Amino acid sequence: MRCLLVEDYTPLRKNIEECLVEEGYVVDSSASGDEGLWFAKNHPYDVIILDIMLPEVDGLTILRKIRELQDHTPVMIVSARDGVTQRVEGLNAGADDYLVKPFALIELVARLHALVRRRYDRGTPVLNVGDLTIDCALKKVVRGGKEISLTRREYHLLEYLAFRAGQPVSRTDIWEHVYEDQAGGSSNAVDVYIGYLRKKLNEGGKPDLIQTRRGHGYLLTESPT
Amino acid sequence: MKHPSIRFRLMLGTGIIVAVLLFVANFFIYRAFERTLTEEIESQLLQSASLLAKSAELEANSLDYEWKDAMNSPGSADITGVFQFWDMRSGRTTKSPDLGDGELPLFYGKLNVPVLREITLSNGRKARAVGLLHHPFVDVIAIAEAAQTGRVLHPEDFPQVVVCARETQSLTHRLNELRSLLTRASIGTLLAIWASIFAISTWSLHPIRELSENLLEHSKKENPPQVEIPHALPSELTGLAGAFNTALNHVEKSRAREKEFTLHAAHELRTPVAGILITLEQALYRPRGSLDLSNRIEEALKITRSMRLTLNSLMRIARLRGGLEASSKTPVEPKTILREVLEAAIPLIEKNHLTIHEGFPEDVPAISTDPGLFRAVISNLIDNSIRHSPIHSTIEFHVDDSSERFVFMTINPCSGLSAENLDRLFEPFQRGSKAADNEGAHAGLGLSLAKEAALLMGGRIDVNLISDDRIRFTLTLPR
Repeated sequence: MRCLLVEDYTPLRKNIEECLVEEGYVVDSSASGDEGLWFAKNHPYDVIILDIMLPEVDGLTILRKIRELQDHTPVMIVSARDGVTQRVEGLNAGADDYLVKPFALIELVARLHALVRRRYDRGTPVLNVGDLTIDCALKKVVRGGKEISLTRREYHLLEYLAFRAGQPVSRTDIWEHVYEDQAGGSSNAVDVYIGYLRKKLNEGGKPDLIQTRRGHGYLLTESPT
Repeated sequence: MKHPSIRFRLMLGTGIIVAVLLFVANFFIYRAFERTLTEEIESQLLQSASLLAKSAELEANSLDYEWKDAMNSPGSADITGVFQFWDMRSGRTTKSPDLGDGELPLFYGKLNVPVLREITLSNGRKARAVGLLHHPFVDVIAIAEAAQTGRVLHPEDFPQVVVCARETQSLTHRLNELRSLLTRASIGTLLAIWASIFAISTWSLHPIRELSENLLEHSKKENPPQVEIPHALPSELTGLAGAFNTALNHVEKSRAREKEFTLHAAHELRTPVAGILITLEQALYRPRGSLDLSNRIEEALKITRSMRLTLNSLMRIARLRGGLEASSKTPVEPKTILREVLEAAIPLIEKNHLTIHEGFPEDVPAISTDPGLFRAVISNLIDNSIRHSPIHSTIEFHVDDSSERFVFMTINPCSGLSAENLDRLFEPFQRGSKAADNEGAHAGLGLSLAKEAALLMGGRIDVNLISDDRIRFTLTLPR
């Protein structure tokens, strides 16, 4: 999943970014409001973490501009302003969540996961596609009762397809939401990792849950053809 | 505490003034009326006395009082009251029928000079009377007849006195009526004035009640608009209401600034705490090597030290503002401290590739001031200039010792500032967007601290825009 982090306080920004990368997110971070707004307008994100007291352009202004563009990306505000008025103001401006500093990192991560699940209309952290079960909280993949060992990149690719199960997902989407290094790489790497995934998931002659749709990308479905 | 009432003062004051005026006016009216009536009576009495005097005729053989004829003559309407004649030669007295058994007092003055007097009639009533000493009328026929008998008639041998009196009871009655009428009119006038004062003051002061209600509504709201001044408010009070609105606006602005300070303070204190928490949580989130852990702990310590600086600055500002920090004056060499501060700032100047232009005179005389506070002010001003200047820009520092005061100026690039909002730069936690270091070591307290320290030293710091993109801070201190 791809996340935009806009926070001007360097220790916070660096540590949150590191934590989210370790959680498997692709993270774009910015220390100023104008740069953060540029990121939000020009890249697709699964979730945005936004501080309010930013230099140049404040967080609420960024949020309002994003919503004016009919962008429904989930936004979590992180702020030191803990008053009811400020929290209500943030939520009324279009935020999906409001976390008051200082906060526990584990809570930030859990809330972020919840926002991503909501974005893809998933009620629980356990995703089921046919006989495939993906526990996003434990990062565990089981098919037909047997646990499958995946590399970090394979897991995040499968997780992304699972969140969007039933929809064709283009290579570009996969590239932008799963791969950190979008400069200098190519979407051929996507095809390679799809191949790896298919091999591990289909082991033992199981039906291929990943379908290729020409011109549209890949589709994870419980109804294999 | 009881407050004076405009209405009560108006009514009391107007009542007293009008009452005095009415009393004086009524007095003069009464006296004029009394005088007129009295004069009328006296005139009538004099006329009567004159007519009656002429009715005493000296004939050849006797003195004849022809007042009966006078009473029946065309001029009889001019004879009023009662009268009595005295023949001073014979002592005989003749009186008007109206007098009855009563007698008038005998009084007179010089010959043909009427004398007026207040008398009491025999019936006990007061009267005005005139007494006239006169000689009887003698006609030529009577003189001729007397001459025939060898007598010479001399009127002066037959002095007569006529006293004519007129009751003044009706006058008194009329004057009493007048007094009563004037009194009632005065009371009515006073009551009418009080009633109109009450009505007009109630009508005029009603908008004040409306203004009070508007003020109460205003006080209940968050971020209220200006208080609405009722259109019907008296013009004498619009100035006061306007001044009150201005004062309220100042209070609202102060409240807004206090609120902003609280929000900023919350942000500037909570954010580093969040930084420490996240840094340490992230350190423990996954297994890490000892070097990695050590670096993370060091990072958390760095944030802690930065917070300590912020808290120390905040506490110092609070002490300076509260007058809890004392200053001592000793001779201070300004140029020495300037050089020291600039040398300490060299790493940051070089890091940001800044060009420094110094305008320091060769000899800068010592000034008598608190060395600690002076250093704090200079450090903050220079630090502020360096941190808010973009990379590769130019900063100027000048000292002007030509006047009786010590003047130090910093000039550096700026953006996004307007002349109207420059004073806000001295408020705590105002950190510009171009601050080179946003890691929390400088929480926007430097200028606030510098200003308080300058004030404590008896000086001040001014700020102004010398162009659209350059700002100047000027420190002025007494020598």
